[in-house]
Amino acid sequence: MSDANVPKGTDDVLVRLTGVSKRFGEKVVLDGLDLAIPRGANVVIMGLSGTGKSVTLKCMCGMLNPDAGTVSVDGVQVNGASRKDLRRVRSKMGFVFQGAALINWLSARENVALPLREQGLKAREVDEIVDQRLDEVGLSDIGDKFPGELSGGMRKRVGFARAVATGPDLVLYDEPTTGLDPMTTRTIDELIVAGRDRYGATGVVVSHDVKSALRVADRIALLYEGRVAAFLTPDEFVASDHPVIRSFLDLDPADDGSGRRAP
Amino acid sequence: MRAFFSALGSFCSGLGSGCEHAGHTALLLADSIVRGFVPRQPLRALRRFIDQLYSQLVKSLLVVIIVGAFMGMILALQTGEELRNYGAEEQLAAIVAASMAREMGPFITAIILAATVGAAIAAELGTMRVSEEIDALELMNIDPVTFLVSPRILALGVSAVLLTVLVNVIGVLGGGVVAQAQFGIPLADFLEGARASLSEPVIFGSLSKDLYSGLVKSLVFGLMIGALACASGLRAHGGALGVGRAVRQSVVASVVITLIVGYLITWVFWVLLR
Repeated sequence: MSDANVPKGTDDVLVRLTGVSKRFGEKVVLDGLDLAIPRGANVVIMGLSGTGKSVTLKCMCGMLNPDAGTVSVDGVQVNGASRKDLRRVRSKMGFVFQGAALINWLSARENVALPLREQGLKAREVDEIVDQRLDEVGLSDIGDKFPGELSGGMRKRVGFARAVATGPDLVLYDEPTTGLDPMTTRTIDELIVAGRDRYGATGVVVSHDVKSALRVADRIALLYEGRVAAFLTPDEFVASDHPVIRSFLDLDPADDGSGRRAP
Repeated sequence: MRAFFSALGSFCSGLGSGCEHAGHTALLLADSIVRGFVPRQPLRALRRFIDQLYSQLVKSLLVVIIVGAFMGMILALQTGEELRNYGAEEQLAAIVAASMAREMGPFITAIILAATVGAAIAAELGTMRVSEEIDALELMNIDPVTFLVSPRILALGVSAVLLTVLVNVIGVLGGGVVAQAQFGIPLADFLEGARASLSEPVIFGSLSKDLYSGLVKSLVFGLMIGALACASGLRAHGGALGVGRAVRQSVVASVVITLIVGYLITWVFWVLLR
């Protein structure tokens, strides 16, 4: 794999994609993509629409299999893994969906409890963890409400509580702030940072929201033409003269939302 | 010529897709039955099954009662008029009871279940598929077949049998009311005639062949409607349009398969095992 996409001085890689290619019909989405996600970091994957950000995320959790290349999580190759290996990898993984993907006929509490019950925890332990997680996302008073009764931001927060309920090593976020107002976006960003700082989870965030990316990222990977065109810290990202990065930043150059001012 | 080959190509492609869907449905049915009877967490599986059974019975009870009553009444009216021409009105109870038990009860129940419960299941699972809820379950290591499919299919099998018994009873009662009002046959005599005709030949304890062949039919119909609805829902894609397509596919396939399999089961019971 290309060393360009591994942060210098980092040997502990949790997720590694090597030469990953994926096409849908005639359309080549990923074309030999190399990427290494260091353990304990939040990495934001950015790129224009249709550049394969979500496809990359889905390859990491085994929802999609690449046509070529390998994807490994914590040393276990995900693509082509046995059912048992895939279950083991997924048991250490949380996923926050763009639309939250809460089970509609279960209450918020029951949604957060789902992965815990699957792990065979006792009812009292499940209740304690659910209370704690809902409290941490500021939703301790809506546990009995159903997803249809919650706002978009609340659903995302319940989705986050569910994703981190089991204390995963890796949390994948698919467009977590899309369609949210600036205040709620900031709340979700704080939760993503908390995912790393409070739970010690490595985060991979797919986003095209520059402000949000600069707030939560330790590294930003820019996807372009099916590959990682740049793998930069937020400061390097802001200073970059890559044309696609410039086009992202130039949409709102005065305020990047992180206190940094784009040049 | 080009149009002909294009149409032929579309037909073959549709046939291939239909075969693939049938294969997927059959595997899903087999998988659900195995996992339903050998659950990893029996208490939770039982609770999901009972929840589904209750919800399915509530959804279809009123329709089943109304349709069952009128089906029996129509049957009695049409048959009674013909029998009167031959002076054989006393046969009316036996004909209505046998028609309801053998064919009309299971068939009517199946059609109602396909249109109400089957459509609801296809829409529910289809919506879950397009809104990534099923992906979320898989990523939480929760098997959608155990969690969603198995309780729905097994409950639909049991619902179909219970509702068929109800349709048979209501249908015979409806027929009895028409027999008394139109043909002057006392209700008590009609019900006794129906009971007597359904008492022989007795196999399986106290069930006559008329009854148990109909109940086996409804069990098979229920399981198949459940499997078709779940398979259509799980394969939905393309947003709201895809969910609508899944519901239509589920209802159409259920009605067609009910008729075809109904004929085959009738042939097995009344020709092969005569």
